[in-house]
Amino acid sequence: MNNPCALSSQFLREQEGREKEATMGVRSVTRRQFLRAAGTVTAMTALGGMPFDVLAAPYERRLVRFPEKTDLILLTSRPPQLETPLSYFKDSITPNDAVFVRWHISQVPTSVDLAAWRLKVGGNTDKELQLSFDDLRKYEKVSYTAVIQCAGNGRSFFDPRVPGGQWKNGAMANVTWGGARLKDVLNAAGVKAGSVDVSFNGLDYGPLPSVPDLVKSLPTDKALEEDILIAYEMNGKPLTMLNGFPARLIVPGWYATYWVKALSDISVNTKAFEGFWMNPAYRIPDTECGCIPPGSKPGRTVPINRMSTRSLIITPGEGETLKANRPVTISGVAFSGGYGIKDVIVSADGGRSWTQASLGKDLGKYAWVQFSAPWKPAKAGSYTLMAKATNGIGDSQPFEGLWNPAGYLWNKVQPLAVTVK
Amino acid sequence: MKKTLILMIIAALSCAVISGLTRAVQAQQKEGAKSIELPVMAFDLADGPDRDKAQGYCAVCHGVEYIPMQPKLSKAQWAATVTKMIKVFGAPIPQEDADKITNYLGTAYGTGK
Repeated sequence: MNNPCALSSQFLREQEGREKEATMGVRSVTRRQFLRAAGTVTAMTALGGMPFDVLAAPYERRLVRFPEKTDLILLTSRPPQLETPLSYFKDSITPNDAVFVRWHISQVPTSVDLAAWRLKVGGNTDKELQLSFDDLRKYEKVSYTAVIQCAGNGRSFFDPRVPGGQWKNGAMANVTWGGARLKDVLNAAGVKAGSVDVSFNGLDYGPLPSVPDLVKSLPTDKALEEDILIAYEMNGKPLTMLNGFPARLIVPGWYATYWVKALSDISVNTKAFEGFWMNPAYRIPDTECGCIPPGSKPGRTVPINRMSTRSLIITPGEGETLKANRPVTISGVAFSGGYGIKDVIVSADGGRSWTQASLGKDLGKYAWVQFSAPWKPAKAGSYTLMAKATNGIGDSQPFEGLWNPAGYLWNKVQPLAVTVK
Repeated sequence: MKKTLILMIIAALSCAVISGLTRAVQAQQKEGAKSIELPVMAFDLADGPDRDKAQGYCAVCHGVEYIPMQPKLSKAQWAATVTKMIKVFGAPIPQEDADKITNYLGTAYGTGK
C-alpha cells in the first residue's frame, strides 16, 4: 500500500488491458468497473495509502514529451492536450513533432495496423466502401498548406474568463497536408438525393459507454467542396499518431474541431446529425461577430465554422529587453479562414501610429503568411507592439477581445510589451 | 508523520520520472503498423474536505489536471460542470457525492462565491 510504484504499475496494467480491449473494439469500462475504480481510490485513501492517480505534483504549464513529439506545453495528459511553444512559429512551416495535440475523450488510438485499418463510407450512398490504406492512396493525391487551429486557441485571454482548455496562442500550426479529396471518395460511393449532411467518426472513444463519441458533421454541399481532404501526410510524412494517424479530415479555413483524427467512418445522412459535439458543443452565438456582451447568455447558436482573421507577433518575444538605437525586426504570422491575407500593419507605440509590414512567401489562401517590419527604438523605455491583419475580403481584427461563453474565435489585436534599454 | 509523507512524495515522484522515461518511448514503427505508448502522468488536487472524492471520481474519465488548469470559477459554474459530467457524460456519481465534489471545487478552485 505504501509503494506508489507498485500502485502505478497496477494502474499501467489496467490501462494496458483497456487498450487491448480497445483494439478489439470492445467498450472498455462498465458501470461496475467505474464504481470499483472510484471505490478503490476512496478505500485506499481511507487506509492511508496513495491512490494510483495521486502524486503530489502541482499542476503548471510545463514542457512534457509525448511519443513522436518534441517538448510541448502540457495542458492535460489524459486525454493528451499539448500546446506549441511560440518559438516554433518563427518558421513558416511547423515541424510535425511541434504541432499541437488536442483530443477530447480519453481512449485515444495508440496502435493502428494499416493491414487491418479500413475507412468505411456509407449511409445514403449508392454503395458502401471499405477503403484500405492502399485504396485511399489510389485516389488522386492533392497537397496544399493550411493552418490548423483549435477553436479554443487563445481561450485563456477571455475576460471574463471561461472554463475549458486554457490555451494561450499555441494551439495552431501551419502544415502542408497531402491526401485524397473527400469529394472524390464521396463520389465513388455515390451520394444519393436527399442527403443533408455527412458525419465523420474516428478511432477514439469515451472512457464510459455513456460518454458521447466525438463525431462531427458538415453540410453535404460543404463536404463536396473541392479542397476538403482525407489527409494521410503532414509535411510529406505519415501523420503522427497524436495528430490522427493514419488519416484525418482537413477542412481548410475552418476550425480544427471538424478535422476528425484517425478517421474510421464517414456516413452520409438523410436526417441532420445532432450528436453532442455538434450540439450543444462547439457552437457560437448566431450574431455577425459570433460574440455577445461579456458575461451574457446567447440566444440562437450555430455550429462554429470559418476561422477569424488573426495575426501574432513572434519576435521580439513578450517581455524581451532590446537595446536603444539597435535595429530589430518585428515579425510574426497572419492568416484567415481561407481568404488569404491582404495586408498586415504594425505599431510600436500601442496603436497610435502604424506602418505597413512586408509579407513573406505566399503559400496559398489557407496558409499563414509571415510578416516583418523593421524597427529601431530611439529611446529607452517601455513599448507596446501590435500587429493587425486584414484578409482578402476586408475582414480584420478587433482591438477589444470579442466574447462568447465557450471561448471561441479569439482574434484580438494583441499588445506585446517590450523594454528598451 | 510529515517526514513519511515527504518521503512518499519523493518516492512517488522519482517513480513517475522513471516510468515516464521508460514509457514515453518514441513510436515503434514496423511494416504497416504504428504503435505508441502514452506517458502516464498524475497530479494531486489541493487539500480540502472531500478532496479524495473529487480526485477519485474525476480521474476515472480524465486527468485531474483539468481542474487546476481552469480559471477560478464560481460555485454555480463548478456546479454546472459537475452536473454536465453526470448528465451529459454519464458519470455515475451519486447526488450526495456530487454535492460534496461541487463544494470542494468551489472552495479549493473557486472564487468563493
